[in-house]
Amino acid sequence: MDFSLPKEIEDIRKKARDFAVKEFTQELTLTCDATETYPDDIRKKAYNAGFIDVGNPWGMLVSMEEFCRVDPGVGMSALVPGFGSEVIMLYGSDYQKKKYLEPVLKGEKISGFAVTEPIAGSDVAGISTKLYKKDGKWILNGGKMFITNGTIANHFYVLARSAEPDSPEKRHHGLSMAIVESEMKGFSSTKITGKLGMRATSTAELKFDNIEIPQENIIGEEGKGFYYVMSFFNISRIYVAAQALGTAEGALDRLKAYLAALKSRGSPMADYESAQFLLSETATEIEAARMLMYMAADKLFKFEPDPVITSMAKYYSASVAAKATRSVMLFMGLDGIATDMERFYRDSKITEIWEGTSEIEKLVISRMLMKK
Amino acid sequence: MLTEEQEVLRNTVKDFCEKYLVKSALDIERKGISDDIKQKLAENGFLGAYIPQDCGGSGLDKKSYALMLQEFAGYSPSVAFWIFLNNSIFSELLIKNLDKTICREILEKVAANKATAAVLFEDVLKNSIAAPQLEIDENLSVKGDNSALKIKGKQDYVLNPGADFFIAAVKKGSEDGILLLNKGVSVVADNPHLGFRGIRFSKVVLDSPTKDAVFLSTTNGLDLIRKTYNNASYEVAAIAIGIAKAAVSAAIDYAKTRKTFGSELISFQPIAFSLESYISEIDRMENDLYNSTSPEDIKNALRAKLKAVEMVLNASSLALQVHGGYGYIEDFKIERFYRDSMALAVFTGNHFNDMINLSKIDFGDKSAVY
Repeated sequence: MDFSLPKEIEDIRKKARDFAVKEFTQELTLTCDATETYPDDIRKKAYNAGFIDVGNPWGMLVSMEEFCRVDPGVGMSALVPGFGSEVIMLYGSDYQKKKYLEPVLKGEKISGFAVTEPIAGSDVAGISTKLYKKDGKWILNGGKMFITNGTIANHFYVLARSAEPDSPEKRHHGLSMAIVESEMKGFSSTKITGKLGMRATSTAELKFDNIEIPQENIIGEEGKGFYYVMSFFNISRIYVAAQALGTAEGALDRLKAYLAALKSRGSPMADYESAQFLLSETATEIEAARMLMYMAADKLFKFEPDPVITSMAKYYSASVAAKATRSVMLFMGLDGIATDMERFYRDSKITEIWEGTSEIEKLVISRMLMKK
Repeated sequence: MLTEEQEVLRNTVKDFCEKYLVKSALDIERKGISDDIKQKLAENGFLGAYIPQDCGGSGLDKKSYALMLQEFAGYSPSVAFWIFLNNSIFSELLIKNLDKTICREILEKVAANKATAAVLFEDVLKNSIAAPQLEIDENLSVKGDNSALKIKGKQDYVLNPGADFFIAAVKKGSEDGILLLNKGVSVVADNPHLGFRGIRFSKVVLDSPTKDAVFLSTTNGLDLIRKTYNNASYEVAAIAIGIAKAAVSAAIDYAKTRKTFGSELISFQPIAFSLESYISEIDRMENDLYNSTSPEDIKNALRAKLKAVEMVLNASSLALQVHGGYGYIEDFKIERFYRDSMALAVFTGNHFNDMINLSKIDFGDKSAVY
């Protein structure tokens, strides 16, 4: 059993760390958070530096960890311009790969993955966006909510109902995925503002009003959309675990720096056992989360995904991030409130919600365990 | 649990909040508490609720005042905290340390919204500050006016930096005192604002001579302000309970209407169980708080505060989780409650310092030193 990552991955980690420390300046991160602005320049720089490379998933994973360790909002924004690409890599046609995936991989275009709806979040099969044929053409009607890259993506991989299920128990049947361009007639997006955290990321509500979808934009087989989404979640949840882990590590970094500063100021607080325990407990939980996440990633990247371990990794890392940021904020008190620690506190909560809430992860874990 | 008068007060505050705060709560977060709302708070006696009647306030007892804060916190934590700062901190420091005539003159204005107040609390709430950062520079003479004090220094964390009156701990020689001043404070920059966004939060410098500064105390300034914060623990517990109650109540409403997998959220056990456990906990804390026969007792108040703050952090997190993505955006009040819960913890003391204080009260001075 080898718990270390290959040297080339550790090299990427170091490079990602150096990049983030240099590029995610205090001014940039503060501005992006305060004005809810997407850092497009950082995206381009991250692409040019080779961090956005879906062909190197371990590299992407450690980059996500290190980027979010410096700033979760900007870090996430920089690394997800190709959100949803794995669906095309796994199930897309050659035409779709050439037209939609390649420009994203070249850093020329941005993609989004659109599943959640105003009345259907965790309940993926409960969506109401409709995809139906009329006069030989596919027509898309409906809307999506809380879509990452919503106002900046050139195209979206959209889940819609294309056929009614045979029974309520088979609601996950009859769902299909289609590629929708933001320039298509009938498409509109509205930026969602006033978010608690991750304010550098672009989040939007999408509307589809009688959009004509060419046949060649249907992904994979009709009616298999639910399975494609679940396959994608098996991938994306690991990256969210990395985001959460990075956020928790960022809190730990700040705690260590704070304790060192207290010590240099001659404060006894740095040596309190309660402070040492906080540091130890946070660091231990981070290491445990890291082991789970790497195990999930290892299985996935060997094409042997284990949804149980993946959900465990996502659920546990998210809870570690929420706990670590809260504990460190409480310890730092006023010293934390005017620093980026308060942003880490706000940014951490989303990891318990997006790409499957912690409650959904627990259901996945229990159901899969009972099937084994 | 509550007297008839307290029930009437609670209903009066609720009516006020329904009338004036429900629709403007989001605006308060974005633009600050409007003068109109402050004026209405003053006209109804809320702004000076805990200020004695002979100083122009409403003279509520501690329990009734806390109950009022709790109700406000459920609608707008910013408004509750604004009242708290004016009454529990500023006016308490004045009343206990200043000549009654001057005190009355100032507090009448504060209670009537003719002046606003701020307490510069960085030196008290920040970890490991041993002496005030503001200093009276006795070497500097002020041109043309030898009676004016020249105060220099900065404060990084100031709620309501545009106040008419400030209370600050200052260093004077080897002593630390408390000064009341009404001039010479300039805003340098606004800070990132985790919570209570209805109240401006800034860095300030003090570098102008002021003639009107008055010493509230020339010794033990930091300790006096710390003590004032400790004495306000009971009210902090009430604000925490108010936020928690409103957050959980909103989550219950949402869980009863939002459907997932064909059923309302509330039909799922983990959600129902979690919400139920918080209702029980909030009820118990509320009962303990208002059944207390000695709200002035520091030990009990500190215990109540620590438990209530911990509870509101958990309750607001649960409420956000129940709301999912909708809880994450400001249109739903849960986002505000989540931020304000942590802000309440931070702006009213430090969790670890509170634990140390409590340990020393319970186990003696030798406890919790390492």
